[in-house]
Amino acid sequence: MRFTALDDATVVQRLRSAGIRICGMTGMSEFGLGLTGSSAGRVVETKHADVELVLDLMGESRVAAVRVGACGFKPSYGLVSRYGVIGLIPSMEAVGLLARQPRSIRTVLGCVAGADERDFSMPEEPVPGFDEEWTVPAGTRVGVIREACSGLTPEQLTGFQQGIEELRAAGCAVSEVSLPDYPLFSLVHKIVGSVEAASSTGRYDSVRYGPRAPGAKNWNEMYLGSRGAMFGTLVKSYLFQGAYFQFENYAAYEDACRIRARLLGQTQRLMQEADYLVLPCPPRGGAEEKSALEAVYAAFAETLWANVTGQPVLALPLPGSAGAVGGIQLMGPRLSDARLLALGEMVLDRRKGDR
Amino acid sequence: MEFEPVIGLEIHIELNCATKLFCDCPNNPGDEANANTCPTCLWFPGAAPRLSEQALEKAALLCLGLGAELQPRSAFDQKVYYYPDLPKGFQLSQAHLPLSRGGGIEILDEDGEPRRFRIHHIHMEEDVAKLVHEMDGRLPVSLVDFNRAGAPLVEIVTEPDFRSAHQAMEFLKVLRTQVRYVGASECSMETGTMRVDANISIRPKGTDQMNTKVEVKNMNSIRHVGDAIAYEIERQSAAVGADEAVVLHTRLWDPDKRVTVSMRGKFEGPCVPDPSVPVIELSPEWIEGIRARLPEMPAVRAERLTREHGLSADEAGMLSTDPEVAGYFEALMGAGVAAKPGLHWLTTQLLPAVKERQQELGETPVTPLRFAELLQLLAKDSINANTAREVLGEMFESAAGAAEIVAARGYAQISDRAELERVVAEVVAAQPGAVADFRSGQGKALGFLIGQVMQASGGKANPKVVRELLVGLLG
Amino acid sequence: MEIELIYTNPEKGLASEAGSNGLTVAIQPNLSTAGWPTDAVHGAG
Repeated sequence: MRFTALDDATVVQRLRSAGIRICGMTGMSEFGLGLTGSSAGRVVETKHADVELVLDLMGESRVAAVRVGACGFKPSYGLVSRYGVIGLIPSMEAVGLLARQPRSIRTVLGCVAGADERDFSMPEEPVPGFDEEWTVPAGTRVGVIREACSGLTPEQLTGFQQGIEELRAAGCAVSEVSLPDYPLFSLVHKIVGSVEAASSTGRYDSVRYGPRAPGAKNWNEMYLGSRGAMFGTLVKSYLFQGAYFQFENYAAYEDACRIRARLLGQTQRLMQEADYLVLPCPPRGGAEEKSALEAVYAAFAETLWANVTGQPVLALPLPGSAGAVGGIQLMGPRLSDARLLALGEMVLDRRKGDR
Repeated sequence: MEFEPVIGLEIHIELNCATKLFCDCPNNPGDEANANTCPTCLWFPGAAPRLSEQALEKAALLCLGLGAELQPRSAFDQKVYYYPDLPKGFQLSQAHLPLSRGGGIEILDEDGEPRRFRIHHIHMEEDVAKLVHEMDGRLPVSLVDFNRAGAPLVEIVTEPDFRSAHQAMEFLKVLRTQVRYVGASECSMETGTMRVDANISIRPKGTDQMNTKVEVKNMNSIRHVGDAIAYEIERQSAAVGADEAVVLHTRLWDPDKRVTVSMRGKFEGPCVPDPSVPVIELSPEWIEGIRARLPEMPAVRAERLTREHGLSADEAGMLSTDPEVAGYFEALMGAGVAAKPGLHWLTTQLLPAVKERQQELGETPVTPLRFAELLQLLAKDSINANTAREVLGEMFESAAGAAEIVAARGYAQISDRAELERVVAEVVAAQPGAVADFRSGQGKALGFLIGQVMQASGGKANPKVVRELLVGLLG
Repeated sequence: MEIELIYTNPEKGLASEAGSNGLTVAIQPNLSTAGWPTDAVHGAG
């Protein structure tokens, strides 16, 4: 879009005033959607940075993290200001944090979280205490989602089960919980997410900024030419999908909104059976997804739940060879961010001690 | 077959807020092009909308002023369409959950009977930018002025209750008065702070079917709204009479040719809930707080003016249309001026004088207290009406009080009988002809003689006393 | 370093140092930073 930012995002402003150094920018996928062309995770893997901020639209920060054997965290929706975030799916995306240690995530999140008068959409809620020492009570209930393991390779499944054993060994009460509507998360994300993306990108019309395609004879030609040259194949198919639901199948969009509300209710009921929900986080995304939309959805099948419901979720790498088996996701209720990170710290600390 | 029209109105009103609806830019669309813009109203990457508290309050006040019911939950949607006047490919508007529902206005129908017209809902939305098409040599260029983009609007959507142009026009007049009363907008169709679209269809009289409607735009006065509706009723009746189908489309009123012209097929883009502007939740306490700020509305005020000051319904109704005039009148009453002469002098002398000097009533140096002093002098016969008019003229130029001016200029009316008897005697002696005419029964000779006495007294004689003396002397 | 970053913070003297609280953070171009590019790949467009 050839646009130079005029102002610091609130997150950037808060990093600076907290004395945190921003070393630079890493390569991302177009609009941060998916991980095609993204170098997310590399800067943390090579220890050139302690934390990397990666917009999480459907699980990008978590999948990128476990691929390099690091931790990825998506905060509760509305906890971190989106002012200055050049987003795509306003109701689902959140600034994700990627680091080798959950402790670094906690420190940085503590600096950037909290109400911002420039982001009117943030609810007025108390910020979880990131400075407090959280202990994980014995018998913390974790519920493993039965339906979420179907897409794993045998190797990934074994790794995931090892992760669950780690939780049990750490004193968690593990149970299996079921959500028969699980496949609908992907469907809802597909429809609602792409419709929002189609709206969000309406501003890239080459009228006020951005490269304008030459030779157009009227407004419509200018618009089609400029946007045609500006967007890549994946984003184009994504926006096309969204425009289809906006203009041609609005009833499906309304259904998806209703289903989303139902899934939120079902998730809340599950959160009464368990303190945290557990899902796998396979190390997908990147080269194999190319630019096919279906491949992108397949790569993030296990991670997009938390984007649909707005819950905080932490992906931890599984023990063993970094990246190959992927990770395990712990998803907590809204605003449980601080204790979720404490749980992750405990698990990784124990792992280090075992060695 | 006899047809009847079914008319609904959509009225856009630009709120007179200090800022735009979603950012802090000044709400002054007339300033130098693109002076009032920022990353938010230009929708730069990363911009986030922030709903103006003042716009919400003014819109809510307007809703309550029209008897509408504020909704505890309302929300913004994205009206999706692509045009260069829209900086983000959609317009933020409340399509699904409007700010208020219901409400209505009572007007006097053609037959003088009161009749209520219902409002379906009122919602908030943002205005779009202004396009300017120019020639750069032989190359046509289109320029965009984003000053108006994001300006706060409300849209009032009525029920299709209107059956004539007259009803629609009366409704608009009362609506304009009420919105001005609550101070939410100037409501000028000429400058575009009030814009009216009319949806018109026709059907066989006596049926209740709803036929395909035509939207008519581009009327810049209430008179034009009436003319456009009347024209469109004729046009559609003729078309249906000739077995032509009426198709859904938009027409523009051409004020010069006095016809409506087809503009385009009506395109309705989708309306998607907006995820960036939070749902607006209004608590009963907040709503009561706004209601407490509601001024007395014109109909209530007119009724009170009739009751308290003995004005006729017509006089009170006329006075109440303008809150400033009604306020001025009440201030005069408060200063002890009698109602009838107060109303008469306010409407026939002061208002034209203020207008002639291009002043606003609220800002004229002739305050109600100063004007009341003048009217008291008149009531006490200290000056006559002609002198009062002259003193009023001077009051616009000087800060002196009416009594002061009268004293300084020696304007005081002479009511002293002994002094006037002397002048009357002189005039009678000097005008034997007129005296003879009067005695032979020619009434107008008396007027002439009174005039002569007035002239001889330098305009200061009390005409009532002069008349009495003349009649006494000659009769 | 240059391999990981498509855009390096141009502020002088701090290139290899951590911030005053000891942490270094990398961001992506969709997080606005005044004067910095917003494109996925620096120099593309």
